Amino acid sequence: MRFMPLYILVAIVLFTACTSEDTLPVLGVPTIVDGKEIPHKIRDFSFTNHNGETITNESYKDKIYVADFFFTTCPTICPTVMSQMVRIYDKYENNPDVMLLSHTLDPKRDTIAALKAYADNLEIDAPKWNLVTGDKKVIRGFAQDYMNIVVEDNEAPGGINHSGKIVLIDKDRRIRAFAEGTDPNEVDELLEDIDKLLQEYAQ
Amino acid sequence: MHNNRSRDWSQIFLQQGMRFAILIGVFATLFFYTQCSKGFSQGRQLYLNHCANCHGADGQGLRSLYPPIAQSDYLENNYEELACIIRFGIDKTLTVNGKSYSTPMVGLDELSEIEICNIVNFISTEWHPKNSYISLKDINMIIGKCK
Ligand code: HEC
Repeated sequence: MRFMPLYILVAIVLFTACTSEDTLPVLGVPTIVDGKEIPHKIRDFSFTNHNGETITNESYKDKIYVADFFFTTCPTICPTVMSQMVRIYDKYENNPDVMLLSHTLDPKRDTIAALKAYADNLEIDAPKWNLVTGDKKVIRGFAQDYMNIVVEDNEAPGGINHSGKIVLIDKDRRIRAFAEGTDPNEVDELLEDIDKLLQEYAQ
Repeated sequence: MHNNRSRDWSQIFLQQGMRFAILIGVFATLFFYTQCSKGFSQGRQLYLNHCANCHGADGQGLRSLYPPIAQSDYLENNYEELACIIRFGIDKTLTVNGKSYSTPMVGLDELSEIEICNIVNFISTEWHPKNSYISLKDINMIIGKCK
């Protein structure tokens, strides 16, 4: 009990240290190699976009980007998430440092032509925003990759399918923030996080 | 045993009272469930749960993907189609306020006639006030005749 005030002091110091921290945390479960923590990173990828072009991690080199997973015929949450992605697109339309990447979870129906029509209807285009398709299993694997931070929240069967998360990736392909794309208030915060991340690179 | 007689009567009286109350409750519930409300709250909630993800909370639509419902000239001119669109969807190239839309809308067949009726009345009151209140009976008739 004598040390109680000390604990409180330490707690306060830690708390203020966390809240006054201006850089975004690095999210995701790190891997431990030889006792060293390696932060979670998005692996190399290669997909095809709505214009039939090959899109790889090189296409996003030296950019920060937001990623999500959707399919064009999804009736429930995807439309809401997409409208939030459009907000992000609009805000950074003239900032080439910010890009977007949407992966279809239904490559069978979402052919390149279907994705193209969807992009046209959303009035968006590459290179800023790629709607990509690829092997279904590979895309599911990347869904895990991007959602690494929230895997535990997603234990519900098919949870990944219906996850409307928008994930912010930095230039080192690390997850730095995410938002529930169905909640405009969370996306407000994500927009602030994007600004913070841009600020980090501006220094 | 025999001195319980008066209590028996009061119990019977209580039981009857209870039955009566339950009966009234059942009728009241039936009445409300078979009515389609003029007030918005149910219709608004149903709209937010079933339509707003595509058409937007303010009925504004999304780019060329989802047409607006608020101020939609298409809807204003084809108001009698609304209940049918909700139940059976719509798949044609539409021109709404000068813009062309061709993504199909799938019908929301999980919605009951009463729910559809509440949504239609919400949309009328909120965005298309020229269209008057529509009753459940009318909705049933309209849906029976959808093409
Ligand atoms: C999954 C997305 C989606 C949902 C959910 C949805 N719609 Fe639609 N809606 C559309 C699309 C896409 C069209 C355009 C259809 C076409 O071009 O044939 C449309 C067209 C319409 C139209 C005719 C055009 C206009 O805007 O005036 C109305 C009215 C309409 N919807 C009402 C509703 C109502 C009411 C609900 C909820 C009960 C609803 N919709 C739910 C996607 C949706």
